[in-house]
Amino acid sequence: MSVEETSFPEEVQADLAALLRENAELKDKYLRAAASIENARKQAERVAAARTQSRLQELYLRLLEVVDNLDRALAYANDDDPLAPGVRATREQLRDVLRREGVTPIDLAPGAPFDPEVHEAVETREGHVAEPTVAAVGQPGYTFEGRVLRPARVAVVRPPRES
Amino acid sequence: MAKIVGIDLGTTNSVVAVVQDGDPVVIPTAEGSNTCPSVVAFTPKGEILVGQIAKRQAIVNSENTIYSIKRFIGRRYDEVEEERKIVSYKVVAGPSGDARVEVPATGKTMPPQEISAKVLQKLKRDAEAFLGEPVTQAVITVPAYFNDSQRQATKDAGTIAGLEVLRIINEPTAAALAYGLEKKTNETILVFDLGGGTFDVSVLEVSEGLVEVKATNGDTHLGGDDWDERIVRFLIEEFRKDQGIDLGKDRQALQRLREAAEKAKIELSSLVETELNLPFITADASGPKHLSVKLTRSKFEQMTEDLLERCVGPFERALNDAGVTAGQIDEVVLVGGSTRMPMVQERVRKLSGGKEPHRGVNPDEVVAVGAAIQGGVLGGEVKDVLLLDVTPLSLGVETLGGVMTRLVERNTTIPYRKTETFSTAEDNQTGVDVHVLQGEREMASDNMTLGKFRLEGIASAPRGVPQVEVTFDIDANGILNVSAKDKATGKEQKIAITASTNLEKKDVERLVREAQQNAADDRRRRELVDARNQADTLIYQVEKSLKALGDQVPAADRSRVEAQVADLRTAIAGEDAARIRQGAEALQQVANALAQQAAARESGPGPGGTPSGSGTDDVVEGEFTEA
Repeated sequence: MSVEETSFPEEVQADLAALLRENAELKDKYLRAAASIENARKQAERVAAARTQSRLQELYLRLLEVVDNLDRALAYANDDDPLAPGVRATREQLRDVLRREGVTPIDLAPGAPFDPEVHEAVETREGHVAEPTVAAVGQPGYTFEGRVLRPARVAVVRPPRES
Repeated sequence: MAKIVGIDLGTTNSVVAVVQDGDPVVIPTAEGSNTCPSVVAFTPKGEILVGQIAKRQAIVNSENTIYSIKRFIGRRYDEVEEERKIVSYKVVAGPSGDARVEVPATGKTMPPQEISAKVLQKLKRDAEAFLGEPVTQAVITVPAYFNDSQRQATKDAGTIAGLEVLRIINEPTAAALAYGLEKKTNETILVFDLGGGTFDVSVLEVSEGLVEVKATNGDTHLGGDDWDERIVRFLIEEFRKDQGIDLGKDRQALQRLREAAEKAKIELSSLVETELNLPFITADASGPKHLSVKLTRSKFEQMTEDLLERCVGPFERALNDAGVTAGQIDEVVLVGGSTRMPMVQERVRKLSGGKEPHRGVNPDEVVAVGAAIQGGVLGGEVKDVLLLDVTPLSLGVETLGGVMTRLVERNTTIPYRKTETFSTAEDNQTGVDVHVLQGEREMASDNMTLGKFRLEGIASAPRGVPQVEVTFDIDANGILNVSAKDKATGKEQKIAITASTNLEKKDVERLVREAQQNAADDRRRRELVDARNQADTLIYQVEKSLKALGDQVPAADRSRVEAQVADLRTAIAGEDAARIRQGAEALQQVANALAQQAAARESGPGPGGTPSGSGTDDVVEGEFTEA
């Protein structure tokens, strides 16, 4: 028995082809729409996480200013000042809170080479050094999750300019 | 396909952005900030530092630290006499009379485009790290007043950095693109750009996708830094008066003052007063000294009045050169972080004939965002986006007390569907009127009526019991179908509204503005209605339980409750929401006591209908007005 091509009239075939095409298009559009919702959701999550992160960092920076002021208070305290041990304990308490959050002080002492990756120069003078060197730490620096949260603010001695 | 980035190569800071999945995104630097200082440093060891790190070592290596290079790019040596004096590095004449930078650390003179290329290279690197793919093409912005030589030099900087610069576009044009203003027909756009150290004002004309800069003016040495400096001076003066010590000579103290000043400036954009606290700012023989100063917004505005005044001349000259009057400005775009200051916004509004500026894009990033959008268009990235419409205004129904209960908030992307369940306001109410509203005001009568219909045949029941589901369904063409269905009987009624989205933009803006202006009044009226509705529900329930309890309630208690009810009714008739709430609270307490006594006497569950804590039924989110 020979198989006729199909028994449908031509216009029905055309309709069918058109519908199949449309169906494929719609399916594609639907999948794209579904995917874009999913992507938007992920993007929103990323944005929310980044926002939380940056708000936290702002908070840490503000708390560090309090630590700074306790540092300054202690720098002025006499050995026999009865308030000093309490202020020191308060500073340690606050530092500890920040440490637990991952806010780590940048290790730095005068004499270290000046490194703009982690130090910010606010004062400078010429001296007998071979390369720029930290002379004094004005305000300690901190890192958070491997990034500089705040550079250490330092006074720098630099080699004399060649004339 | 590789992404085309947009770069705002600024005098003080640069920003890079890209269109990702149809939306512009600002790319953070490796250091985690959205802006990168346009600073390049060459160290004696031969390192090249760019951005934040270069800035941190500036004073240690001032003759090799190049900033504000944009002031020299593409210019002749004899054109930059003023600029040359301000910078700490040396500017010299090149072989063809062009301005060049002498960099002792390299033993060479360098053309400005090579310096700018270092900044572009860093932005390219950071963008590649962010996108995870190579970046080779860019759109870069320049000030509208840049001449051919400055534009060409900027393009060359891109080429040196390994970027194919597909377009150099004007900064004000980019800002307009960020707000999609190129789609306007025959409009005049004013772009007010107050950055950290420069001020530009431009008049643009847009017609059929073409943006043309009609005029531009400005002040190359006016910016937010000047506002900061005023606060620093004020603090120094206050401290000198108070303690007799000059903080201006103490570098460490000055640094703290500058930071505090900038912080205070930012705070005064949202607060009317701020306190600057700098403990242990310095010390003398008598011990440590502390700085604590209050600064009000009005004081701040007063001491910077002359700075603001300097914006006026360029503004008026730009309008004049463009041949337009303030009244002819259709759109206002603000660029630069300093435009966040209320005094600046206020002044721009005044100068531009009361026009509200566009908001929504961060003014520090708006130029880069516009450049990224231009890049997206060139790369075919933007075209692909399915354009979805939004509802321009909120949609809802009228509920008890003549308030509008919103079902669809404005700016909701359509198609969209939302169903809420309502109930009746009276006992044995058999029909509800569904009054479909559009607008942002709290009271129904202040909003537009889109349609009205009535659902009949609700089964007779006490108020609050019938559940009527109201569904708002907006299809992709903006046609709004509203249906109401009684859950008990299955009876349904619906209406189709075609004209819910095709509003003139001007009308939408006006309606939204009106809603903002009346917000406080509207909220008060709404609170009053809400308080009345709650009190009324409470009275209803209390009376119901009084009836149910019958003789179980001692006469004295009954008359006490009835007195409270009468009191509350008087309050409801008045206009004082607080008094109504107080009355309702008092009644609630009496009713609770009553319910407890009844329960104790019964020593078991009392008859139904005792008032509960909130006094409302779970499903009732609002109640229809009685016809």
